Amino acid sequence: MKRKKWTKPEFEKSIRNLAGYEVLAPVQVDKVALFAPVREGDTLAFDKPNTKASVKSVLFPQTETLFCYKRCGKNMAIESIPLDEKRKAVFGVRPCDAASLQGLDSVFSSKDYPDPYYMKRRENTTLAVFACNEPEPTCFCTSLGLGPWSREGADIFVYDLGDHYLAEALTNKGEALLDAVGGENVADAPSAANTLKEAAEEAVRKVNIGDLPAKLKKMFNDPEWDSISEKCLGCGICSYICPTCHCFDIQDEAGQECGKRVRNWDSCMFPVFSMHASGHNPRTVTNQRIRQRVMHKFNYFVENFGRIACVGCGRCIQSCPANMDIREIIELLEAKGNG
Amino acid sequence: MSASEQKLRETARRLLQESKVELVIGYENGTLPLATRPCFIRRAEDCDRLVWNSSCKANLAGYLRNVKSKVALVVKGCDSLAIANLIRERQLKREQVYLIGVPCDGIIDRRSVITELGREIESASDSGESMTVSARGKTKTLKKRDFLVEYCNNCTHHAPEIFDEMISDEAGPQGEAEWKRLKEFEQMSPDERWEYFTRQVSKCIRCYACRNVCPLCYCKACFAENSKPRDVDAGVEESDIQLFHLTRAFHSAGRCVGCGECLRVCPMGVDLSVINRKLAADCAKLYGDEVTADVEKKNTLDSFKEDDWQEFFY
Repeated sequence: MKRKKWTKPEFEKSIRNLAGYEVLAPVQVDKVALFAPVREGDTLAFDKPNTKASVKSVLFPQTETLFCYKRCGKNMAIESIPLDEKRKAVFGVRPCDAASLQGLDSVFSSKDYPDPYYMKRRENTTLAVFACNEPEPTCFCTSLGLGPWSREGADIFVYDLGDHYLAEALTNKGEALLDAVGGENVADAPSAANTLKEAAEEAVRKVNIGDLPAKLKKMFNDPEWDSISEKCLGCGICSYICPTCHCFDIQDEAGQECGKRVRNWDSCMFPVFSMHASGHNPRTVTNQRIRQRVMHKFNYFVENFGRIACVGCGRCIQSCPANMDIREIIELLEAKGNG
Repeated sequence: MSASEQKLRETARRLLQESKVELVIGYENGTLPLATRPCFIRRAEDCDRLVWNSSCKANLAGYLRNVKSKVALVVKGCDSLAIANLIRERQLKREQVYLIGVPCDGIIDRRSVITELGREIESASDSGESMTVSARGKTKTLKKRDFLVEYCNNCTHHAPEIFDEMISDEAGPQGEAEWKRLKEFEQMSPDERWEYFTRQVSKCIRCYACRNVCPLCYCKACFAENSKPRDVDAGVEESDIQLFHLTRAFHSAGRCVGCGECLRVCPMGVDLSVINRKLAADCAKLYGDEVTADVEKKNTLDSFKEDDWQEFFY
């Protein structure tokens, strides 16, 4: 297996000067770290906890133009936008985010509705996943079959060994990227690996998911949704920073003579999300929308795609202004539901 | 538990037992250290959930929006100013809400503690003027005064100005009325102000948390979400983000009470506080409209006098 190591400053220098790839990493934007293309002068946030928002925007941007059109006599001439084929290397992805992309793959590579915008980016993106040594008190990935050292979805797996990094290529894409970054060749995995892994896994707090996906099937009308939802503000923070949320809205931004069709992220927390053209809205109250969100992630997605649409990254818990806590919701419903 | 907290619980219990209200909206402990969250209490026996401490930041006035029955609400000074505005704008009848007033010394800004620790807080304890916080084996004892929400340092409304009952007579020291950052902003040229504004809103992800948390953003159909006409597109195109925030700032001019909730809730750290405070300062200076709890006064945008300053018309 191809392995390389660098001191941390060497590593940063190598990726800043990497040829042949657009390099993305956690970049400090005022008080918050976000995945973004690395520009000169950027401060990189590898040694900090996870980014504020997930890595999904790299493959699934919040706003993108699908095509343009203009009036041509009585017809419309459609102009395609070339797909994004740029070769990207994303460093500093945590195992939770890497696993989340597997879920997004299920949605966007569906047989009936394959999404070329996402898939083209996915093909051309290589992920260097960094193991987590210091999970936050809000992390719960291990309760979802993942872990701070999970390799699922990684092209390269990087060990943080204090003053240096050691990376292993897990796929062909990973090997190509590792070759491009360069660095000192290493024969073996680090000896400290097991100790660090166990310590990290031990540090992740547990949440009892139990039989929730199956139990939820019978809980659509449970009165608990009311009390769970009362403090929710109905903003879109949770959906937008979540690695697995993927709902979107397509709008035409049109003038008289020309326009463009645009896809934007959308959130089921917004009342307008489920508004029909007739004016009817099947979800007029917050408890219906919270129910939707929880059922989508823990029941519908399981039925449709065989996995829970949550990776336990804890971002929603940290950023919810009303302190809605998905762990609390999971355990409350699990305990209440009947198997 | 402090004397204030005890009095708060007793008051809430009494109001429910005597059927003076059907619902008490207050604060309870959150699931994270130094965090509280809104709680909705309908039974007297649940009143022990209520807390009052330096983490009670939320402006609960926004939760009155859909309430039909008589409600008791825990209010700080800033919150009471928002209530006054809701009454002024006929969104609320004074009789609908029983205001339990709490005096406030300033609220801890969780985010600044997280910045100090470099990560999410694992545990915290409150010891009056200081607090001990820790994460990953690193423990720090911090002076609360150094980690207050920015607005709290300049607050001149430490006790609610509308209330039905106060749980305590104490009110903390008044802050410095003059806000240094506002003065600096006022010295900036239009180009510099534009640069500040566009830089801040470039971080926006259109989650609408700022709008939703604001007690005074109560429009059932927000301009930002209308489709006919489509004034602002959704998404993060620069011009759409800028238009959303500029419009919201002007919709709030002369109405914003400076509670700072919009600043607290933003996940990306968009900071338009100086802009909102500048608009408030302009309303005061140009139209004599100060932020007060007077429910009879007319807000700047609700009234017109022939001698109103109108030099912005060229």
